[in-house]
Amino acid sequence: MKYVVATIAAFVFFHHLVCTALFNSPVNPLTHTYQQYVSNYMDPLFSQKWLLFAPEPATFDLKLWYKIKSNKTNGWSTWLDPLEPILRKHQNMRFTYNAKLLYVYGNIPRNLSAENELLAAKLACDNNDSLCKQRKDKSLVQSSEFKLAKKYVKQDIAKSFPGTSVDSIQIMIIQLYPKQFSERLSSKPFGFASSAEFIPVPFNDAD
Amino acid sequence: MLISKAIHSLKSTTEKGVDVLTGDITHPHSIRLLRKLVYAWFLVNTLILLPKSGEFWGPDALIPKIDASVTDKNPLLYLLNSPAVAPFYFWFITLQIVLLIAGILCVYPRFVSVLIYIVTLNLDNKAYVILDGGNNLMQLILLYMILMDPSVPKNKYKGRLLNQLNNAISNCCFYMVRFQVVVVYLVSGLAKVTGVLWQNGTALYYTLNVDEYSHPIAKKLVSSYPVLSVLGSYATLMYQLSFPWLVWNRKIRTYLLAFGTFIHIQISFVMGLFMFGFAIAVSYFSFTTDGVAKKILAKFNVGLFRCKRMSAAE
Repeated sequence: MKYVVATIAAFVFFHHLVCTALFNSPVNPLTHTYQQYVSNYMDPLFSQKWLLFAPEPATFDLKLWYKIKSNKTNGWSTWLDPLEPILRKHQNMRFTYNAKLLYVYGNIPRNLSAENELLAAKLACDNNDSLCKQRKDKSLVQSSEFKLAKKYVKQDIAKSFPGTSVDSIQIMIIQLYPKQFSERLSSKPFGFASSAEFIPVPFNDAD
Repeated sequence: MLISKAIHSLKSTTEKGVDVLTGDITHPHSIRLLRKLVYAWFLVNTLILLPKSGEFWGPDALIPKIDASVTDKNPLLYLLNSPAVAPFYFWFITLQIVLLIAGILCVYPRFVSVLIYIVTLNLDNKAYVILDGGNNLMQLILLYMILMDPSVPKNKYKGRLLNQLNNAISNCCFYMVRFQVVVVYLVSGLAKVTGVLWQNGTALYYTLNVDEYSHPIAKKLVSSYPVLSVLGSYATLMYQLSFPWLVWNRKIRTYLLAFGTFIHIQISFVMGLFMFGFAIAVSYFSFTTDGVAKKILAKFNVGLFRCKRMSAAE
């Protein structure tokens, strides 16, 4: 009887081993042939992804900045980075919840940026087409990604500016690239930046 | 003559293989040690996040909702994504902590391991944006651990069908954990080889210049001393590519895992991926020999940490 047990166990083990190997392999003729079967078997319990900073490591910071127009700022404030204090705390002490808070808040600009790019590609507005741009802005402001970003900003304002009557807010997503390796000793703070500023929105509205 | 010798040799090898697979659990102490460490990892992870639990698992957490097409496939693992259950997230956290402590103390190990898996997956699936490779690896090991038997079979059950089946499944799952760790390095190492920044030795420089994965001191050091970036990038690459082959060699294994632990502790403290570094370090314990695991367990096998069901073998 032990032969039957061993054969069944070895077969199941071998099958799982092969599926795991195929699921993780780069695209090749075998993965192409068995992709459907392997995916059905591995998802969701054995689902996995092991790139771990490959093929390239992270090469830029994606940040959400905002500015406010309030009774205290005399017009618009400067751009504010709500993640900065958490980042500093995380750098001072590694084993706290701040490490994962960075993931939660860092995910907001990532999703917003993806939605912005998606809308830009979908509408493909011409540079001079202001109506098309307005349509894009309206769609973006109504998206769940923008609403989440606004909720995040409002929470930060409540913490950072208690008692301030805020009239409007404006959100920007900025990609900061580090200095190139060849200019690493130069005094400039970062290599280059690209940003997407969104239209100002009222602080208090239905959202 | 030659053919009959070959058949005889094949027969004896098969018999040995069958005996190894079904006769006994090959690494009982390694399984127990791994079990305690994996549960301890989850416990520390949850305790670290506990002060801000609402921001990760609460109904008002700033985490986008998962699509219903995903949650509906496995509703048991996405309970916290349901608006009716979401407000009770703190019960899930409490239950997870209690179960993890029970798991570490070996209370009903099989039953508790199933509950731990379900509760943990519910919490992880709710706060999916905070997960990294370490969580993924720990979840997989958690799943294999359900099928690994950490208890000592009584002699009267030895040789019975269910005992043989239990041994075979436990042994296969234990080796699967080892294989899983190897897959992590193989996939990641091969993918890195194709990366330009890994090839030219500047990967570490660029990573440490991204605020999220850096520290001001590390940033300064890696900019001032390019040798750190080049050596660090190549050492990581060499380690990940050689691990899948060298780890099976018992003579080299200790040094290899010691070096790997050093790399991952660096990832924890310098890059700030604290729990990820420790997750990989915990998974290394699947490569401990049973004798070493027995010695480690003996040191902690006192008071509350003593597992009565397992004490016969410890």
